[in-house]
Amino acid sequence: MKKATKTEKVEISELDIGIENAPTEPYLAHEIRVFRAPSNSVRMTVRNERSYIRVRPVRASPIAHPETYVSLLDIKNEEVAFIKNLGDLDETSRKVIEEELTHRYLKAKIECIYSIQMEYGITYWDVMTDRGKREFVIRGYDSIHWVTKTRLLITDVDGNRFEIIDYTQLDPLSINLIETHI
Amino acid sequence: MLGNKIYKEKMPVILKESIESVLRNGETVIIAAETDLSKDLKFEKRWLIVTSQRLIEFDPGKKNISEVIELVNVRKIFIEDLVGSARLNAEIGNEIVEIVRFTPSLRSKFGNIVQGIDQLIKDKPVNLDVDIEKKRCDKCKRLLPDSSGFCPSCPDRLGMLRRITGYMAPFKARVIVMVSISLLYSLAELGPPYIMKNIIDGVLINAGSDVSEDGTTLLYLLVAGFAVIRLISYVLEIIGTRLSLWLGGRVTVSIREELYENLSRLNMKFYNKRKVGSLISRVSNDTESMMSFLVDGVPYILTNALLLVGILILLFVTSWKLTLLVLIPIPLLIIGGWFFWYRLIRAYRNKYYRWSKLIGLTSEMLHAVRLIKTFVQEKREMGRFNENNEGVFKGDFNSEKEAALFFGTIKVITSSGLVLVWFYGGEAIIDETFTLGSLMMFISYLWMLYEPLQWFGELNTWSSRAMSGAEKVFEVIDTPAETEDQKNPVKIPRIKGQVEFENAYFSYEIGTPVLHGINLLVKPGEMIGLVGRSGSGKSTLVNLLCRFYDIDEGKLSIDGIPIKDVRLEDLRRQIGVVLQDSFFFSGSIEENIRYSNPQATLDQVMTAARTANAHDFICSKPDGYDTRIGDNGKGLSGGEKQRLSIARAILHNPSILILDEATSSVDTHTEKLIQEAIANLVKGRTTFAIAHRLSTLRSANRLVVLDEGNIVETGSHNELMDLKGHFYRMVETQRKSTEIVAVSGKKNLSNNQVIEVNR
Repeated sequence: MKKATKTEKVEISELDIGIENAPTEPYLAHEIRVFRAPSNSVRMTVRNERSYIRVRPVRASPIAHPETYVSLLDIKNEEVAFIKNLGDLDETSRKVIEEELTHRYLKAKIECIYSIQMEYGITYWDVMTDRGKREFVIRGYDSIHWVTKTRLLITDVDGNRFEIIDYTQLDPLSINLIETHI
Repeated sequence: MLGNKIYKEKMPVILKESIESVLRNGETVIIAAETDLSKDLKFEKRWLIVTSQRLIEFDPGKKNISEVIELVNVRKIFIEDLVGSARLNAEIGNEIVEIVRFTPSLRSKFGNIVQGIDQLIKDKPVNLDVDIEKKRCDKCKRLLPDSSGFCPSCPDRLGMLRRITGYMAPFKARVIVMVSISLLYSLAELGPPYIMKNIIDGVLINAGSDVSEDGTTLLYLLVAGFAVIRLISYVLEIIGTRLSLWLGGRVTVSIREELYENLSRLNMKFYNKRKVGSLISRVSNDTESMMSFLVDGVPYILTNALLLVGILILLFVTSWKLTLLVLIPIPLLIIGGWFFWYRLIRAYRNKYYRWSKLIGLTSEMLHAVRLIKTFVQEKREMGRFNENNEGVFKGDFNSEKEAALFFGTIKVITSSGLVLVWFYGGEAIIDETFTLGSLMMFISYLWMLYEPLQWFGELNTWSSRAMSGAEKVFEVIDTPAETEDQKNPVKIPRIKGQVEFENAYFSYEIGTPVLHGINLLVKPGEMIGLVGRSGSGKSTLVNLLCRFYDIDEGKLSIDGIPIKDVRLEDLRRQIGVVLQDSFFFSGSIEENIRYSNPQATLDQVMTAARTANAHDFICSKPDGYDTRIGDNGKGLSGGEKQRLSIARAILHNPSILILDEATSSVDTHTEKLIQEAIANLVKGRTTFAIAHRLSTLRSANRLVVLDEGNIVETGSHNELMDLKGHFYRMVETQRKSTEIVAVSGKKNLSNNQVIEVNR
């Protein structure tokens, strides 16, 4: 049994929704240490007792909560640890996980739209992102997803992901392009 | 290292120079490929250079090399797919090193390249077949929306039109008639204004002063002529429309027929790449847009082009000065019409999108009415609806606004021409150099002239849509049919059923192999149970056996003959497949059983049904064998469907049988019936059975355990249990979760009973 601390108690009561024989819970932030092994893989140790070589940090909710809720998966894709708040980790662990996450998720943020051309259900975009200039094509309306009234997620025909955090904060020309085309 | 196929993309000069400067003696470049992402995830150009000795990452912005890996140290090379990007990794010792990064746009290119590097590591000759997807249209330099390589905005209109007209060849006579009717129609249309001019100038102008007998006769004559011309053009229009409808319809019918025929012949790889929805749209929408253009567009263009020429000639003859004035607004009309037309369709598209969202939401709500009520979410749904309702208002408002703008602009421009004519024509009449009749004729022709020009934008959209539709349709028609037979295929009228895999490799998507060297010899009549987790390659083995795909490397032979040499028709005719979720066509039960063997008599159908334990339940239905089953077996229970598909397979009488999860999710009694049916079916046939419920594989002669594309264990049930390996662990897990094995004693008994029944 894991020793319950104050913060953990709150979580357990949240999880307590009357499921019998719930699966064993993953380790929590304060129990683990994450570091980079010499082989360039990410290693996790639990209270200096147990070690998992090659864990993979993933975001549980990459769109709605990209900064919180990180799950660590082992080679078999089973969750071994769950970190609700990266701040609960020690400095090195947090750094390693953040590094891995930025490398895993590439979603360019669109900062300026040069042009949007629409023809026969296909839309051609020419944009500047935080990763540099890029042109891409999307098909139909389904590849544009309004997360909120001002936040947009776009997936192009190849599977590249783009995001506009708040379109009303862009320059007037870009705002106009969005409003007339989407 | 002879026989290496080299793959090099066009490199910038600086890069070429810096590569040459670092090459060692005897080292050659084998692969040079550009990536679109730097390691710190910026959209920048980097190059992957693979030489005969090293893997190198180049940054064209810098002179020196950024990353070098000696090939001898590389144990494994692979692609790791991340979210929104992917990286090429090399395993060196225990370490995994990232070589280059790229976006999903370049995934398939690097999939190919990885294979090449892998061959290089293994000291095999590099046989790279990188089919670089074209990313941009050669003509307009725009990005392409899919890998098929054609650009929807620049279809080869002339070529397409020529090809479509090719389909009209059998109806030459009708085409000639249609064209001449268009010509006559245009001529007839030119008549009325001219008659009007003569009525005004010849008769009416003199009204009141001296109307002679001749004047009145002329009036009657002219009016009669006017009526006759109207009548003629009425008749011509009806005949012309009918003809174009008929011709357009015929052409699309034959194109659709060809399209459908080819769709059913294409190989599975084609279908893997494309969504069924997009193919259905090719059969319906794309041929439809071609048809509408052929039926309405082509005659419209034809008559209006002729009319335009006729009008211009008549106008010039009447007054060339005035005609030149009239031409002034035309460029404005075309440009204005074009510009505002595009704004208009954009607004309309937006409106339809908003409408479809609202309709979707409403139907979702109606379907989920119980759910909404049980969770008391009416208010929230109302909110969602209102939000979209507002959106629809916005869309409606915008599109109507644009429509008003479009028509308003057109009106202003055309009236400007009219103003010019009234002004200068009026002046000329006062100067008595022009007649009132001529002016009225001029104005009538003016309307006829401006009318078609304002639709220039629409015409362009229309023809482009039709042509790109045609292009998509022709793409399917032109795709070569599947896995064709060899030149001299071996005919095997009766397959004995020996199947042999020899070191077989296969991958659906280049770079991610699914089978890694499968070796398996199956004797005729043997029953093989294929066991393994999902994704372990069981279904792939079966797909290869049906020759839906060809293996990449190694051998697969049937009765000792390589499968590629066996006549496809013979092969497929003698392989039977029973799926868990079998497909049924709408029709009667009898028709559905007979589908596998259309020549079978009703007696044979019934015998098959009896052997499949299906006869009883069929007879108990009010309409017996004539019971109609709806789309995909609607109205049948799961167990009934399974037994019907077994009956179908029995009637098919295959030499090789594939049972893909043939039994599942039924009650124990039904399962017993199905097990009996299967036992009847597999007798004397080479059988491959796939099942997740291991208990159903008890009757198999041998079990083959697959894991990640490798055969890890083979043997009988008991042998594998004694081995305590993969299979044992799987059985143990299932015992824990379903306790099926706990009752396996009973099951054995039922199997014995089956055999007794058969005897």
